[in-house]
Amino acid sequence: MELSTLTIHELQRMLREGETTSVAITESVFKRIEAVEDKVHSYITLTEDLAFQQAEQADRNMQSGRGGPLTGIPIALKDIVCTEGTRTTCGSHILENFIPPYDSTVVRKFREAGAVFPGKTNMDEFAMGSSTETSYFGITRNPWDLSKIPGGSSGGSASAVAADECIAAIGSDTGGSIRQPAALCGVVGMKPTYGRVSRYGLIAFASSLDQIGPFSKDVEDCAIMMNAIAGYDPKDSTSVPAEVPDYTRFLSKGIEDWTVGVPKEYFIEGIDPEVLDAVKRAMQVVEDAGAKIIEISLPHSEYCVAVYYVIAPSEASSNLARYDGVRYGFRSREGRDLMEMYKMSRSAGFGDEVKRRIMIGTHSLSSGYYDAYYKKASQVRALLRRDFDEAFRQCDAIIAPVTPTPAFGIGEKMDDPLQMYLCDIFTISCNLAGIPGISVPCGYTKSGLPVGVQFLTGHFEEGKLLQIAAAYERHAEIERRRPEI
Amino acid sequence: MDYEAVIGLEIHIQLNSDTKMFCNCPNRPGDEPNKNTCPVCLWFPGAIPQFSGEVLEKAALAALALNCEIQDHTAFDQKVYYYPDLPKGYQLSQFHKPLAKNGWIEINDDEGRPKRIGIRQVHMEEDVARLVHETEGKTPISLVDFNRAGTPLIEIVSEPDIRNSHEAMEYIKVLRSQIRYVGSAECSMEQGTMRVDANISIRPRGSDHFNTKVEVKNMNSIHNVGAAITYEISRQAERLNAGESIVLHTRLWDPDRNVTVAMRGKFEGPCVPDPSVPPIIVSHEWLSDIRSRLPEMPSGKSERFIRQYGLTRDEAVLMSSERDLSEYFEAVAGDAVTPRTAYQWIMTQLNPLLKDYRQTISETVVTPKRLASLLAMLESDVLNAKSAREVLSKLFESDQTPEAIVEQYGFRQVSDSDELEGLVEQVLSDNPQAIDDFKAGNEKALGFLIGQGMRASQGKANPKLMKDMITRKLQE
Repeated sequence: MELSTLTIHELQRMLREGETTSVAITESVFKRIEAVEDKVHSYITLTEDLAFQQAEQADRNMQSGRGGPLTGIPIALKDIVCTEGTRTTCGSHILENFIPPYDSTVVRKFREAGAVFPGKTNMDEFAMGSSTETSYFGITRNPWDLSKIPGGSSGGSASAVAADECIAAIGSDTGGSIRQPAALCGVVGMKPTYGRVSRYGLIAFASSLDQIGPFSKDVEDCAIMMNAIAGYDPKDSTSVPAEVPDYTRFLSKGIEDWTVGVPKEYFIEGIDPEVLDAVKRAMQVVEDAGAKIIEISLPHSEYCVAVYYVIAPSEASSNLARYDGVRYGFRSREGRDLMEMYKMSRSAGFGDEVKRRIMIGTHSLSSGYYDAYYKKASQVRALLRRDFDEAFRQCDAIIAPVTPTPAFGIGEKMDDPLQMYLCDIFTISCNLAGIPGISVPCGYTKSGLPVGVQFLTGHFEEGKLLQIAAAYERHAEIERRRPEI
Repeated sequence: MDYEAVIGLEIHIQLNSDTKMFCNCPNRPGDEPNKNTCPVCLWFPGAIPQFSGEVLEKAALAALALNCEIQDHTAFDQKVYYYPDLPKGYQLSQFHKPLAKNGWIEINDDEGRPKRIGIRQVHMEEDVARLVHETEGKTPISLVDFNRAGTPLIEIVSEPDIRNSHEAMEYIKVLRSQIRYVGSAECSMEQGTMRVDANISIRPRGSDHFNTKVEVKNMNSIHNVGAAITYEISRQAERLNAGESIVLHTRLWDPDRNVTVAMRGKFEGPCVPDPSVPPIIVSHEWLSDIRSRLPEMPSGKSERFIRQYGLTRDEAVLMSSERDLSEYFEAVAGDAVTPRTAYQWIMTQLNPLLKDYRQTISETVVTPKRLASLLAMLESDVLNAKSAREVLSKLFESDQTPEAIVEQYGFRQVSDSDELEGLVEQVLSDNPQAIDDFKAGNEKALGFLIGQGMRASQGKANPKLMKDMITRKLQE
């Protein structure tokens, strides 16, 4: 058994009992990277030297009894979280050579937990995309079918976990950027409640929607990762000083007597029949596990994509205003005055999708349009949030599809932004409402592509979310396949 | 035509908090360039602002000093524009939900009558970086100093209640005094911690219509604000009289030529709610705590000074105009020193020396306790005024007590008639001519003899006793 294929909890047991070492695990991961990275391209930057230093330190710590649940575990980081001393590009030309002088809070927590960093994973530029095709550093391929996209924007983190190029990974989710690639790559991916995990050091796309979360090979690992990253951070005033329970305690609890809601608005025309079948089977599993399934309504769901594509680009247009070539990052040498320097640096530094969204956002915010777009969208957002509040009065959790289709072909939607935006139709509302959501593998299509099912719970109910995800995973007994690359 | 001006002032004041507004960097813009910076105030990717509670308190105190209503729910907006002094492409300011509204302060108009000037709102915003352009040499370069970036400002927007230069200058002075009182800011136009922009329009007297306004910037003293307003009013009147119309634009005051000149229009971007700083919800408890920290304000204090110390209105207003000064005054005026003596010595003796020694009233080595001891000796005839002035000078140079200085230098006044007896005899026998003059009815001769007596005592004789003794001898 290759160590790189194992889970955090399996490796932790082996490390504790002296059956293996972090150096051996790290060697196994880099051997795998060497074998498949050319085909998959999960990483923008590999940090092999750093990883082995960390692994050696982790082994020393384990020997002296100072190990924790993540000590010695290779965790890949989406290239959107700042890492002191390691370049952080956000998938963009404009940050190609940006080496942050500081660590993001999640990275600091992982360092303190003794984790090992194999590298920074590929992503859509500034997390804008659903296929990892807008990265300045080239595309990532789906390990299950190299002609397909891995999803996005955290496609590199999802593919790295699926292809065993790391043990677990970190991503960020603004409108589905963790859950959608997790579903398309057949791994577990969770977006926590807005405010549950510090965003300090996460390069902002849309500050009121962004949230950091884990990718893992199973639900138990997801809980272990959440234990490491959740919690209030004074450096992020939107993080919430709510108590963080031990999430692993929820895993074995079961869901007998739970009520699980199925939003009728999510079962629309256009869902791929194989995806629909897989999700319906998942509903059956949940029922078999002792829960009652009821139909619920989220009446404003039809507006979520429209609302999202006003709010997210609006916030992005001001968050990305700082990339002006003055202090760091790419600066065009050709401008003859300040205004030209700005224009040429930004024109050459940003890709098409980023520029498209900056323009949408700037337009939505411009005087004369602000009330019609941004303000109206904020009002509808409040209604969407209320939909969920109403729903969670009737049920403990919601079950829904993650994506309308399995992984699609590379290049298939690049010329049709609207089709690309609709990939996130089932994931966006969770960000707009700020609630947590998780994607868990629920089967395969006939052609062997993974499909995911999504669970949602109320604000700060990550414990319940992991409880139903673990119960589902246990009862579903989905065959554990490995992608052949 | 007889015109009346309609003037509103927008005043930016730099708060004197310890830290910047959204990070823990020191609020010291004058330090070595770019020393006080961090990922947040340089707005590196991933940085998140952390709004300072201290800044909120200072801003709220200032707003309360201007009789404003603190709003329950306030929030930051992003004011978008591109310039190298703004590291993130937008300035965090308050537009939709300002900190405070509906305030006022009272001034005296040009005929001395009290007049209220309304304050529309007080809001918080961050300052920008400082640009330095080095144009000498082969390649001109522009440098950015981010020490000032992210330091806290409040902007105070008046209602258009001001009618002339006098009122504008009075408004600034009263506002400055109020804000210094609560300790939120230094408010120095000369040092740039207070910046005043004026919106000026004119209309036929008697009209209640608001005409197109012109914004005037770049006045770096209260005097210049007055001069710029006077100039701008007559400039606009000339234009209107010539049949031209006034267009909305910004002008800069040129202090060398004493004129305002049109400035190129700048791009004004959108102003949208900021999602990274959570809205500020002000609780009743918090507000009453801040309110309880408000000191006695100048107008109440000057009334009390009139009642309690018997100062005239002008004296009381002067003594209460600055909090440090008023506290100094109260610490000196007490059982042993009459308020009038305290007032006069602070104004006529201490103040000039403070200027000479470049000390402030709050930090001077001549503490209220030391001055009070000195003045107590003066009032109990231990020393005379001339000696007291000399002791005061020495207090700036030495850390001895006034009593010790009096002893060391022998300033003690001679009030013992036995001691003065011989001296008086000597003076009279040395100046027979003056005695004759006095007896012939020349009153001035008395003064001359007293002067001679004082000189013979090396200035230490009690002048009153000296006068009495000489007068008595002359009448014998």
